[in-house]
Amino acid sequence: MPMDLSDKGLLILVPAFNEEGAVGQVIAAVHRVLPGTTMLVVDDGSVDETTAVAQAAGAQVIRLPHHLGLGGAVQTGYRFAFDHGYERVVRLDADGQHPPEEIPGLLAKMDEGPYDMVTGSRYLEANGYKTHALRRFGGRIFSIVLRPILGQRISDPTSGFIAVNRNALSVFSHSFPLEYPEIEALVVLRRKAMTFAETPVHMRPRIAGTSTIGRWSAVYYMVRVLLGVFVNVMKYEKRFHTRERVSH
Amino acid sequence: MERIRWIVAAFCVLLLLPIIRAVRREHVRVEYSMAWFAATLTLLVLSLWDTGLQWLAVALGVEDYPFVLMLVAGLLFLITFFRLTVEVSTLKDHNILLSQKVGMLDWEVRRQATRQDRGATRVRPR
Repeated sequence: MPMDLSDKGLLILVPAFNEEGAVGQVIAAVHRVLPGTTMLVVDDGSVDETTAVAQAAGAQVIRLPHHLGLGGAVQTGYRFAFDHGYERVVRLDADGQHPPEEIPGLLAKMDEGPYDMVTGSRYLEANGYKTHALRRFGGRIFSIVLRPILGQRISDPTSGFIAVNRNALSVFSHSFPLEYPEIEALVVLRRKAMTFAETPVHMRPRIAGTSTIGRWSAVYYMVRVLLGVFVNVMKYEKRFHTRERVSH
Repeated sequence: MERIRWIVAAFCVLLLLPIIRAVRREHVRVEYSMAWFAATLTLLVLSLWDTGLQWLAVALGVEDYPFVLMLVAGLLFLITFFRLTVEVSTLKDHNILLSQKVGMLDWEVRRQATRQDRGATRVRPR
């Protein structure tokens, strides 16, 4: 149910596509950890009851008229946050893999730098998180490719558990990759001379539904993302420019 | 004249007919039909104009004239496809932006409706 947005500090963003089985529990969990924080679910053209479940759980819901893909849904949330004056956005997956208990850790890391973006990493510390071998291999390849481009090691480049500040919002609200956005987003930020860091987090198995990236589409995923990374590298026009801050 | 040149000429004429029909019925916008007209007419002229094709073959250092025709056809359609890909990409970007704005406006309309239901008349400035 729409309501006043009185807290302009933090927005919890949850892109969702056919996640009626999990999104309600995710919203309830966030409300337990961060009561009073505004939650925005971007329903990316779901054909199930995702919108109704999210609204019933107390989240704001933006319903996209048709399916845009993860990047399009996330960017909608970033645009919304930027337009409405939010200072920070934490993005959670709607399938319940990202524990809200880790959100304060992400925000604390963001203040440490300060960093424009902080990613929750499953692999920064040994925490027993199990993932498919192909996914681990892909993540390893991306880490190797990204290291010279970003100038720093990224242990979990495919993580969608991300906190961004208003500087990053100013970039992402206008320029954000459409498909598989996490990795390209890092390169986009680097191109704009912004800073980012990782912090260790625990992740859980998804509550419901299946991953959008199957074993066969993983090959397309890798090629598509690598191409996107190289295209962004070619656009490094502001690589050595002074960092521009957004006035608050 | 080689058989392949007659085939290309006939194909170009046959291709021109649906292009003209599509433009007349507004199934294809005039600006997008330009690339197709240019490509088809260039091929038609080259396939029928013996001297022009020979001059082009000599200029390119190719002995087999029909091969030049195929080369030109391939290049023209590659250019056309590339131009259309650029158009499609631009349209997709616009479509994404529009969809996002529609979603946000829909949210705003529902928020205003809820406020009216509650009897609130003052709109909070952003």
